[in-house]
Amino acid sequence: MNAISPLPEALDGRQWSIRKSPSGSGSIDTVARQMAVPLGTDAADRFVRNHEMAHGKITPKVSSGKQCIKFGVSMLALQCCEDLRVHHFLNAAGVECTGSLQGHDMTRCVESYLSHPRDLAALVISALHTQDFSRVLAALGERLEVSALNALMAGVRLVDERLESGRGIYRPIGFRNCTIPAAKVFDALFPESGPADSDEDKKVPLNRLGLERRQVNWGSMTITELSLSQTRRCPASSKIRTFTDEGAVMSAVYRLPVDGRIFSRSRAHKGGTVLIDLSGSMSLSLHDLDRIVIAAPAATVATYSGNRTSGTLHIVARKGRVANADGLRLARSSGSGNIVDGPALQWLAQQQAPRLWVSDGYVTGKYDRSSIDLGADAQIICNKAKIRRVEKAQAVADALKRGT
Amino acid sequence: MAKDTLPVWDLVRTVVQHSRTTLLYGPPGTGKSFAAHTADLGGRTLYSVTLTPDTPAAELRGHYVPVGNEFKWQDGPAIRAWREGGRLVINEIDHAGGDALSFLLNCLDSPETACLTLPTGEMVRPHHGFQAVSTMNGNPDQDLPAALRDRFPVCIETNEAHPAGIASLPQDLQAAAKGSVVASDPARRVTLRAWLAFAGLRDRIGPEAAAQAVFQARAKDVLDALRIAAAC
Repeated sequence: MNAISPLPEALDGRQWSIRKSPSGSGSIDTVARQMAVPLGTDAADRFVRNHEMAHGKITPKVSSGKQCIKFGVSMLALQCCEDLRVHHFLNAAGVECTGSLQGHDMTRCVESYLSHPRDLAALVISALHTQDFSRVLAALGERLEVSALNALMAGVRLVDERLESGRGIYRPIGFRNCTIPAAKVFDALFPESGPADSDEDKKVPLNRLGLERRQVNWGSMTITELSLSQTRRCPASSKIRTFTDEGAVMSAVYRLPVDGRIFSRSRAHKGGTVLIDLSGSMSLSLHDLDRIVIAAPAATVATYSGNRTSGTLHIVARKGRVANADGLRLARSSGSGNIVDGPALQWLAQQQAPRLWVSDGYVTGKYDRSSIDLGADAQIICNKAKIRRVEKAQAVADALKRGT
Repeated sequence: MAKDTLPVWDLVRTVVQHSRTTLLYGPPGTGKSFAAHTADLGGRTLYSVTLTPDTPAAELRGHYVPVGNEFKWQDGPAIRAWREGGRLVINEIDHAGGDALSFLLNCLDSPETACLTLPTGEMVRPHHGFQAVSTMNGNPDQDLPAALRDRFPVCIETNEAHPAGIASLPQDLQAAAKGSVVASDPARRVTLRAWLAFAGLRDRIGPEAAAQAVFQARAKDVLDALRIAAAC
């Protein structure tokens, strides 16, 4: 009677059969009322038992394969999102969520998934709201660049928010209301075909996010090019000349007695496009703008913000010429809300790479309202156009210098 | 279960009050003895014995006891039930040793042939109202001698916890008790008595300590299962 064993009978008052499985793995068949779980005494084994018990409580008695076909989601997405829902449930039930992977197991997992962003995202999502999450973050922090980690976490956050926004998250109906929409977001953000900018991904329609019946209410945006009256030291229209001692046409004979590098090769200045969110706490000073233009003289810099239902995108620097202080003041005065993140990102997606978006990541639509769908839409635009988000304008110059 | 079959405990309740001999078998702690004691007695007196391999026939039949300077015959529970037409509950009938077994073969025989001459010389036959309800944990076809098994044409497997026992538990323990009392794996089985003990202790010393006392190594799993089952 007192051997270690789960008590699934508490779920439905019926007989269950329990089979022992290796540590870290478990399964439950709610139709045949069978559980395969590790029967060890440690916290990880106990977590697996509770995890499977929670599946028994809130996961409907349906074939997951059929549900994948019915709702057009992948099995991986369905599984990791349902696991995430289970962890929400366990936390709500007051059951300790210790996670099932010890430090070295997590490290091994992360290392094996590093070249598979989709699997990595599934791992992070499955670890969310358990103590595994801090372990996976620690392992990722040592192996991923901050930008990559931030992008991954932004996607994971979106999936989690989508899941939480559904009704009945702790009940079987939550499978349809929460897990399926979250799985669609997962599939869109982390497509099976590989990196987000692959050709296949470009074909991913928005309706895979479950947005087909939802309106993505971005505000309307107008584009204004300020008077770019200030010139910085490197006009982008010129080119950098590099002198060499090899070449076809002697263009710098005067260097013959100096270093012999009488031939020259020209290359364009570094460019790129920077989009700056000027809403709320975000800001841009003339000094920041100078640093950006000096780092990448050919860069185009634009700011945006809005009020109520519309916003304005101001181009404040282009080809080495920048707006003056009055121009920047005008740009700042166009609104205090985001409103037009989506249209602004779509504009950015059409500009020259590298594309940087200076923002805190919080997006809103009309009347400054935020929603998961707006967030997902913005994330998809970023993924498709390889737009990199940075938190501070000061970090832009460094990013442009590196050409990322 | 098919719609035209009675729930097992309804069947037990209906049958026990009318059948002359009934055998109830199933996992321990499901409420077999409870049902044998509480099913409508119809005005009968209840006698109850629990057998061990060493229980002598004399304990069932009766024996002489010293009263003053002489010995006086005193009927055992079986003979008293015979005489009065009472209900004799025989717990753990599969534990009966050779001595008690021989007596039971006679005691539980059909009314036409059941007849016993006591050491006093008196011949006793069972009253027409006599009933015997026996209980055991094993499988009667395997664990009882064929002759004894034949004395129980009405033989019911109680593979569910008794609803009255379940109803006496707090609401949050009822489902867990109902399923675990009859768990197919004996190592995972939790008897109704254990659940009642847990419910009683929980109110006094708190769930953690009560679970540790009753379920020991399984305490955390039990508490987690109850939290999960009760959530939302």
